[in-house]
Amino acid sequence: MKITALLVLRCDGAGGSASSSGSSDPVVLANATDVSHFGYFQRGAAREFVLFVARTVAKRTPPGQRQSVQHEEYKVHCYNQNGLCALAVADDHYPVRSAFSLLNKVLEEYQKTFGESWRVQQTDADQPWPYLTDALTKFQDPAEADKLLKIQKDLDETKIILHKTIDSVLERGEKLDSLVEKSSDLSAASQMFYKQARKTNQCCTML
Amino acid sequence: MAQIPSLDNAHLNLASLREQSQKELLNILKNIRGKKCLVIDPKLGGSLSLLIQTSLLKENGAELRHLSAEPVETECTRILYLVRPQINLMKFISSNIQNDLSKGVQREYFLYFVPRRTVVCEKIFEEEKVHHLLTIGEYPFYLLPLDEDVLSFELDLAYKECFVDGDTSSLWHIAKAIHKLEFSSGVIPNVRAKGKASTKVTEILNSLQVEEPINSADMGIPEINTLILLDREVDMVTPMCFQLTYEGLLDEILQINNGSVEIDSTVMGGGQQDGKKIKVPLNSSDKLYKEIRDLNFEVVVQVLRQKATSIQQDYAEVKSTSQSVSELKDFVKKLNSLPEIARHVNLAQHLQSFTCKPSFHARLDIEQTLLELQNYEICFEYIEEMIHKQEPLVNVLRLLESKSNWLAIARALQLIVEDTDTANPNDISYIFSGYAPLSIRLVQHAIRSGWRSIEEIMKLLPGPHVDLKRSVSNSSSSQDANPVFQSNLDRIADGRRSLALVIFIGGITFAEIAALRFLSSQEGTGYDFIVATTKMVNGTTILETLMTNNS
Repeated sequence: MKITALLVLRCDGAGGSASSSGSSDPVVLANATDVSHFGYFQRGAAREFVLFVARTVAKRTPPGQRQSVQHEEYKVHCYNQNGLCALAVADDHYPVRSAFSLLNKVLEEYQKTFGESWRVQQTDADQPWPYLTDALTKFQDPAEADKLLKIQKDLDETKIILHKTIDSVLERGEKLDSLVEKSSDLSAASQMFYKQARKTNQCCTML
Repeated sequence: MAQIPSLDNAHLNLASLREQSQKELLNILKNIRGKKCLVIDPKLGGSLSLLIQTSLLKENGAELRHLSAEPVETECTRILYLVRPQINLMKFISSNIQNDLSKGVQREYFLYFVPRRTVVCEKIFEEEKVHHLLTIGEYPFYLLPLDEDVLSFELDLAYKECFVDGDTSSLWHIAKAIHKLEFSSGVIPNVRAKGKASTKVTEILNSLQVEEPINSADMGIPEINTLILLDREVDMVTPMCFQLTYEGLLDEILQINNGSVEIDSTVMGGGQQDGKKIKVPLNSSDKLYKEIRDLNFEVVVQVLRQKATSIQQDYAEVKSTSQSVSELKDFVKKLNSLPEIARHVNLAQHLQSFTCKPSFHARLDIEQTLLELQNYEICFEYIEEMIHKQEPLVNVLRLLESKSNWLAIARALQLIVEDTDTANPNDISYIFSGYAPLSIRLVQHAIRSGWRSIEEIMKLLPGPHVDLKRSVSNSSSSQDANPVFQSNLDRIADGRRSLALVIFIGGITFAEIAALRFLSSQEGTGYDFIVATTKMVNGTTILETLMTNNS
């Protein structure tokens, strides 16, 4: 099994229809492609092919969606996370689940590293992203991608437990909102103990 | 939350002091084989609740009972009385024993005096012809840590005894307690005392040093640098002022007893109106309480609102945005403070139901006006009005304290301070919203440059004063180990923080303790304080003691 390429793209627009005039092509933000298994003279064409397929699939993956597309002997997996897309060009044997774990990770790392700068990117990036190049090598073995899945699952479970803890603490005893209300009333009603007498020059206003 | 306060952050090893007391008590129990009924006088019981868990006593075979006029209900054949040397308590014990005898009940009786036996008390048993039935011992319990920086001698009647009855056994108790402390912390080099009782304690302390000298040569630098003793009598004005710190207010309105207040469960959000009362412990183990106890109440309500709101905001964020595991864990930690916040919001609400009353503000006006010696005539009209309306006599008495020479003292010591910022105070006068407690001003002077600089003012205040430096001569000749007294002032000027033990004979108020803590936190003071008092007091309790004993 093999992953030939990993890409990160920026795609606006809805995608989906073939003739979306006016919507621009996805911009390539990062590209790690391994064409070493091609013959020397076919490598250039192979690279072009990867770019073409990547852009096409990304354009047709609506935001928030994942999809896998068969193209000749390749399976292309794409996840569009609200405009930021991660895409893998793999073979038929590479497990789908592992591929999407990997794409999740790639997106997480991209955002950690580049923040939101991708939103204004207009042209294809010309510099390689080292992380992606390494990932392409590392995740040839789907077991590595599966490990990611486990970590993510554990994190998610921990979060669920913590959320439950938080909710149960807030259920017990004083409700947080009523506490805030009470303390706000208190501070609003609080009066200065300072010398009224001296300030107003009068003393002992009887009740 | 524990009722027994944590002493881990104390500047002195109070934890071991307390442990020692616990051990001694448990040894007394262990020395009596088998099950025994431990009968304690109720006031002592209150003190002991801050010393040791009752479960620990029970583990050592003790069945617990309170001493009263009623005979003790128990199956035990061994009875251990643990009592202070008071005549009325001796009479209870005597009648208990007589009751047993009349019923033909066979028992072994043990009587342990706290802290020491007295001839007067033992005479009672001789007169009642039960002395031969008693095995008598002593439990030398002199000092009870109330918190990490507050110690109590648990001497209820000290003020009245010393200044009204002329009985000085409580002064001996205080001197003995200091002397005992010095065995572990070293002889305290600097002593400043003001007042009849305080100077007497200094004398007794000196004679104790002669009787049982502490060999300072073996010990390092003494842990306590300065001892300041003040008679309550020196400043009777401060306790008569209504305390405005959170802890002070709690004491004035709810009465703090043995480190806790008792209130209706409905106040704390109990729900049912079943008249049940709950005890709320108040000490530095409650982190929020430690933060707010000494603040002026005006500021406390703001702090509570801030804390509650901040958690609410964090919660909103937790619910709406995706949080990392560590962020969620941080929030859970914050939530741990929620019960404390709730506790104090409820207490503050209860307090405010009192402080919002116009009568409360009018009363503060009077106090403040009296302190400034303004408009006496109008004040007297008001006081007459109060008497006419039959306001509790105690409150009226409080306002009628006479203050001769007050103006001179107030001016010289800058007791009245304009423009106090209670939220960001720079002076102890924030404690009473513009009045600096006289007693604490004296402490301020004592540590800054001694009382020499305010000699004239000291003469206006009641009682003699003493300013001395103690040293123990080298133990090269043990017969020569007489303490040498010099009356020159000496300051430790090497930049280290020093520890001062401040003792109030006759009682201290929570507000004064707050002032000392504030003083300690100010830059330039260079001192940490440990406070010791015969008992915690406020104006009401001082007057009540005087009144009930006069009737």
